[in-house]
Amino acid sequence: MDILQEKDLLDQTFADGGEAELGLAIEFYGQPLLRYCHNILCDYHEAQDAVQVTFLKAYENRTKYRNGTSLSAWLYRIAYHTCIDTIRRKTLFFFTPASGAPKTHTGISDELFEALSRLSAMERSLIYGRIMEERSYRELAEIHRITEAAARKRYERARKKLAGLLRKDNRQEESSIVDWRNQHEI
Amino acid sequence: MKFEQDERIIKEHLGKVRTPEYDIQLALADRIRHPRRFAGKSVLILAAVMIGIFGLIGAGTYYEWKSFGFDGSVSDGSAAPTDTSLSEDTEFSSTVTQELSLDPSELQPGEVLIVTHLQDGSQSSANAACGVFRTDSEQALQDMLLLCSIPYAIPTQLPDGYVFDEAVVQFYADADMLNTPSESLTVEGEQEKTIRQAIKLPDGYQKNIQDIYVGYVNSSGEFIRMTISLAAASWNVSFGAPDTAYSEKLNLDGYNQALLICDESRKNGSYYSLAMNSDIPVVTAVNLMDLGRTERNAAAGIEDNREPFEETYDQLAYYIESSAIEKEELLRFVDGLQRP
Repeated sequence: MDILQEKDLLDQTFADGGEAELGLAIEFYGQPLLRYCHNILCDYHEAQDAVQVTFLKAYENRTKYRNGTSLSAWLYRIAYHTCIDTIRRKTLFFFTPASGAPKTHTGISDELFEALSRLSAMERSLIYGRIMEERSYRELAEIHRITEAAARKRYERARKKLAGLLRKDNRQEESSIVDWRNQHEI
Repeated sequence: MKFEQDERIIKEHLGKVRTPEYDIQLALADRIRHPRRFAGKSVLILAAVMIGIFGLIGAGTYYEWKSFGFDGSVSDGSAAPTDTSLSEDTEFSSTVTQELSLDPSELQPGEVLIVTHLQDGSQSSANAACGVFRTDSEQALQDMLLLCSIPYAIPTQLPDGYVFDEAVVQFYADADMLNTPSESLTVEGEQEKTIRQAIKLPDGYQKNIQDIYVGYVNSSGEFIRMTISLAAASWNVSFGAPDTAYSEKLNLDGYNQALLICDESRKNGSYYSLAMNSDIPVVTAVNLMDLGRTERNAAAGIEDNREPFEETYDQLAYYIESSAIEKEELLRFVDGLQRP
């Protein structure tokens, strides 16, 4: 049985499966999901954490997966939401003391990090899915639970925005924190 | 074609991202045995309270987790996971509202940044962050606590070799702090727009303390970390720990409930965490992280049907963890907690 057939079989059996099926899912989708989370979170260690949580949640909720649908899309959806949760935690719990390691973005250039940080998580997800994983708009829509038209529209907007940022000819659209502080005279 | 050029540039950059492979199976197994402790224990306790993180990362029998309650109860795998990943679209939308990145480290204490994101003619997300007060001076912390009406208590005695390392103080807002002029938040057609609004909290905000983190270290890098947060008696608090951990319900003077959790299976010796709570006069506070929900949005014609942003607190929740000290030392540490 080749890998495509194995993936198809896993699509048919994951909901009723156990640890063996979880192991296969990790084998097939673990590293791609790690890269996906890394690109959304821009933090390798958080991405490691997110991908672990993704598989834990997938296993705990496996009965909610509908056999015969795309396990890949389902896992990516969970991973996306896990990343959102991570970002939300970072926002909600910014009180976290700085005694730990300084903020890093391992594996991502400063320039790209700066540009990606100006995109929303969904925009980063759409960009990565479309350009690096060559996903169709239908798949992106399924992962993000939006319409296909909205996926296309948001992707195109994000693509334009990111490319502009990377060309460094669009910086004026975003104001720095110094700008807004001056603007509001505080 | 422009879009092809765009994609080429993006692909070139994203293609350079290095994501080293690692053994996820092994990491999962390790996580089950030795669950990751978050960098800040405010995360741990607040997460347990507010978003059920331990349910989220799995309290099922397969993962061999335990959940400890203040009443001494222990549950194995009975806690329902918080299934945010599979929530309905409405819940998902509210989750996405949090996705805007805010970095409060760039804010001065008392500065509040509110970010509202408008897309397709309506508000798609809003969030806010407040600058925290951070100090490596114990005296500065004490001075700040003197101004506060909430009886936050900090240690007066430390185990041998430990010294004050750092404190971080986060503030809440009084409702009248929000009476600042609204900007126009309307947006035409399908334009996308991010609006950043800034507030500087009025003088006196320093007495409105929402959370305190205090850290102590010794020369070996061992630590004692304490987080004290506003909480409510109505909150349902439980604490996750590996199946090798055990809990002990304690009676401590001055506290309603106290729970000691110990994991002796760790390589570096016992790892204790201690949670307590105590009553305080009721505090009604505006959670600064929810400022995006204020009436300014309604005034600007933005539909906002979320819950009110004010929170009512009637307890202080303490969470202390120590990497190396023994139980008796930890209890002495707690016994020495006093309001400055």
